[in-house]
Order: sequence, then C-alpha cells, then structure tokens
Amino acid sequence: MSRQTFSIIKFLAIIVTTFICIAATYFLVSNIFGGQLANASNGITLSAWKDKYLDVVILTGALTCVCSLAWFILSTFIFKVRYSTGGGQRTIWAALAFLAVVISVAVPMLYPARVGIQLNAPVIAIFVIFFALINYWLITIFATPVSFKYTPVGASIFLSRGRK
Amino acid sequence: MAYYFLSIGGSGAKVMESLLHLSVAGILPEGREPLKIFSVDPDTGNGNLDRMSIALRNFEEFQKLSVGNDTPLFKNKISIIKPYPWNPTRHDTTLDDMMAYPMYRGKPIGALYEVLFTAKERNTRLNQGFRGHPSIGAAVLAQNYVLLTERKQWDDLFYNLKTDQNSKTKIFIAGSVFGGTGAAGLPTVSRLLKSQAEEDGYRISIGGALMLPYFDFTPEGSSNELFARSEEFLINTKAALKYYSQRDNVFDTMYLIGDSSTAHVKKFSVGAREQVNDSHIVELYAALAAIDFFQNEPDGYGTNFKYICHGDDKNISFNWNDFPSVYDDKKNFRNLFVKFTRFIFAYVHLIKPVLNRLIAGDLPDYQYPWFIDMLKDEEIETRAQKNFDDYVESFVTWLKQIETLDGRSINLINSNMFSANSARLTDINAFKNCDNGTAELDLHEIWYRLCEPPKRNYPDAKGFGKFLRRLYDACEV
Repeated sequence: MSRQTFSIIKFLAIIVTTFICIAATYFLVSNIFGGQLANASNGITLSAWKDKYLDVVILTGALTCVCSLAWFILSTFIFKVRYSTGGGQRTIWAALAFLAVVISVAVPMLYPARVGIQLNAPVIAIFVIFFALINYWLITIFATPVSFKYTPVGASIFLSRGRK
Repeated sequence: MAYYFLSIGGSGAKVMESLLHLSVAGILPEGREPLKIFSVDPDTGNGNLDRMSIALRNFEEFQKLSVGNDTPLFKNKISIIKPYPWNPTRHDTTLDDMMAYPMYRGKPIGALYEVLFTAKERNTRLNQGFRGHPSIGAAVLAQNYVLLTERKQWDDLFYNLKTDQNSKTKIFIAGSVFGGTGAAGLPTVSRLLKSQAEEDGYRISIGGALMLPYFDFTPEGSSNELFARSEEFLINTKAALKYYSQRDNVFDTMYLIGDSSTAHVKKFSVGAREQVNDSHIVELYAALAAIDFFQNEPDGYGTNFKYICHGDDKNISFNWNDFPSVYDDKKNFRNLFVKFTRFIFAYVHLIKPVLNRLIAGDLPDYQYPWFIDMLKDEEIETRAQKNFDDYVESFVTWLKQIETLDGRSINLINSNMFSANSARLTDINAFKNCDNGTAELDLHEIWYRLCEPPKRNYPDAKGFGKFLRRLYDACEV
C-alpha cells in the first residue's frame, strides 16, 4: 500500500472514529441519562432533549475532530524532520490534546445552557472519554505518521516495537 | 582470489586513503576476501600516512559490525598486515649507518660510495623518508633486500601469500615516481615479490599505480636541509618512465596517473606529522585503477595501452562522466558512491548529534522513533560506534579535499552542502540532489524510512550494524 493511500485511510479513519464517538456518546447518554436529564431541563420532552443534546454531541465531536485532523495534517504534511532536533513536536500534540480536553469539558458545560438543556458530571466524563481520549488521543496514536509515531503520549504501549 | 594493496611512501598512502573509502562504500568488486593492506614508509610519522592509518584502523574496528551479508555497505573488509607501516630504516639512522660506510671508508668501495652520494645525502637522518631522493631509497631498500628475503620483516605478508595459494594472488602497489620512497620502492618491491614468488612457486600478479607529478610546493626556511624539490619532479619522472619503458617485467599491469597541472601544497613540510597534503582527485583515479586491476584479468596478449583522459579539453572541470569504467555498468560506481555519501551525511546530520545523548538517556527518546525501535533495547557496540564516528570525519575531510581543487570545478558531490571542519551539512537543501543528478532524496524521507517498519528481514544483521544497514538502505534513491 502506498504512503498516500495509507494517509487517505488514516484521514478517513479519523472521520469515521468521530462519527462512532458521536453515535456512542449520543446513544449511551440518551439511554442511560436521557429521561432524568430531560426532566431536569425544565421538563422538556425526551425527544426535544435528544435533539438539543445531539447538537451538543455533534459540536463537541466536530471540534475534537478538528484537533485530531490538525495533528494529522501537521504531522503528515507540514512537519518535516530535517535536523536531528526536528523530531517529536510533542508540544504541538500536547497543546491540541489540551484543547481537545477543554472542548470535551467546556462544550457540554457551557453550550447546553444556551440551548436550554442540562447535562451532569457523569455525562461530561463520558464526553471526555469519547472525545478527548478516543477521538483525539487514541486516534492520533494510530493516525500519526511513523516519523512522529511515539509523539502521542503512551504511543509506545500500543505500537509494536517487535518488528525491528 | 586474494588481494593485496601495498602503499609506498606518502603518495601511496594517499591512494590507499581513497581506496579505503571506496572499500568502506563497497565499491570493490563482489566476492572479495579481505583486502590485505601493507605499507612501506620510512617516515612512519608522516601526516599523510597518519591520517590514512587512523581511518584504516577505524574501519578495521567497525567492519566487525553485523550489517548483513547482502549489502555493499562494509562488504569489502580489510586486513592490515603487520608491521604496519614497515619502516625500511631504523630510527635516527643515516645512509652512512645503513650502508655501514665506516667499515668501507678508505677502501675502493667506500670511495665509489662517496662518488655516488653527496655528503648531505649520506648524513641526513632518514626519519622523514628519503627526501625526494630515490637514489637513497633504492640503496636502503636494496640493503634491506636480505632482510626481506629472510622474511624477518615481511613474515606476515609472505605467510599470507603462502596461505592464499589456492588461487592466483593479485598485488597492487601504489606510489609516486617523482619523489623518494615511491620512486625507489615501486620497482624494488615489485621485483622482490616477483622473484620471491617465483622461488617459492606462488602465482601472483602485480599491478602498479605510478603516480606522475600532480602537486608542487614552495620550500620554506629549510635551505640547508635535504628535501624533495618540485622543480626536480619532471626530471625524476622522465628518468623513471625511461626505466619502466626499458623493463617490461616490473609490473604485470601498470597504470600511469597524473595531471596536466599541479596542485600547490599550501603548507610545505620536509616530512613527519606536518606533512599533510590535501587529497587530490588523481588519487581517486589511482584507487579506481586498483579496482580495475582487482576486477579484470590481463588478456594475455602482451602489452595493451589504454589512454583515459577526462572530457573537458580545457582541463577545468570534472564530472561523473570523466571517470573510467571500472565495472560493466559505469553507473554502478556513481550509484554506490553517492548512496554511501548520502548515508554518511544522513548519519552526520540526523543521527550523530544525538546518538550518544540518547544512549546516555539525556534526551527524550520519543522524538527518535528509530532509536526506540532499533537501538534502545540493544547492546550497542560502543567501540565500533566510536570508530565509525571517527571514520565519518575522515571521509568527509577526504571528500571535501577531493572536491576542492585550486582553479578546478569538481562536480561530483556538491561541496557547498557540507563543511569538513567537524563534519556537518551546511546546506540541507543541496543534500536532496547532492550528486548534481536527476534523482532527489530529502532528509525527511530518510528519517521517515528509518522509522518505518522494515520492509524485509535482516537475518544476519544486529545491533548498531543493523541500524547502520537500515540507514544505508533508507538512502536508496
């Protein structure tokens, strides 16, 4: 498989992962906490709550997806190692990771109030798990090009060092 | 088939230096046994020999690295024949001492000796060689002939010759015909080896690179000393060529290599450590002559002459097309040399600055996937690695000097891309197309390939050698 094809697959994998995270977060929270949170949100119907909640999930997913794609594009097409000190770029990766965490916390905390629904702390934790951990951290581990493959923290746990 | 290279004098050492770099790059023909190296030089502290010897001993050490068998990299091993270098004189001796002149003083033979050699020639200490006087060298080497045939000094060489007799042995000798040691040593050593081989029934073939004048110098403040004079080079050369033209059995194959203009040596020195002449493209030609000799069998139809001149009539520029074909595929030399050069500079630029700090744990290794994948859990052969690091400096210095010839344009490797004063790349963009060819290879691409999972197995490679092999393979265009 050519390097270009592999990059396209990685790009699509990020998009697909985002959809999966959005779907998982939406259905998981809707099924577990939906009724309770709908009642707490000025008694709106579950169906109306789900619509508004979906907006929150999509917004969070889309923004963290931007973070993942930003890292993917930077590490694949922008960052070039032409000096011995040019590898790593963990500061950029960590900054984007921090942004993904902030998005995963701030969006479910601030945005629901604007659309008239409420979310609770466990839901925010689920957002962090799906959007910061999976949709950014985990996906960047697998979507980072080999020249920066150990830059995502913990990548060496997942990436085999056996094939020397 | 066994292969020997004998360097005689300073110019021979410099040809050896070029041949060494070609050996490390794997440019010698396939299927070689180790290239056995022997050196003759009375000026054992000579800077030219010294620099080459350091590189030689570096390679002797790091050639042990396991890079695998199916690669040109380090494939041409070397073996240094001791004593190295062989000094035909003793410390602080003069020609009078060597010839035992006091014993013959006042006798007819002593008087003849006085006629043949001036007082200055007789009384100059020979620690710094034969001072451009082949007559001294010839006398000393002839005096040593007994020693040679008794094999006390050349035991190792003759032992090797004896053990290599399952097939024909090829011996290549390089030296200048215009100086002292080379001019005296080339015919003497060749004849010695031939007669000894004949006596012992060895089958040997001897090739010689006879270096014609290609440098000159201006002596400084040593007017009373005996030393080589560049104004005598042409006279010496004429006499030497006449000698070789009259004796057709000195060498089985002879390569005469020179330049129509001479490079000026910046710093004059009579000899010793201060005598460090820059490398010259003529020496690279001589090294290619050695490869040609090792590669080809004489056709057996008597004397053949081939004249090889470079293409630029004005004698100003050199490029890849100016090299004689040493292989069937002429591009092979260029490809191997350029790939090796890329490999060296990729190492110098991307690996060497951080490797020791990574090994010591002073740098975060996540930045260097190749280190985590290939070296972190390996026992790194630090001695070989240190020798390789030192060799890299020698190679870059040599290459810079080859590329920098007064008034000439050498268009082999782009010399603007690197500095030899502590080897480093100075123009990373020039690295892409370092041989002025059409193919490009970026440093990032090499880094990327080095971090990729290997596309094949390296069953015979391990440790630091395997890492160098991966880096070398990553430099393929």
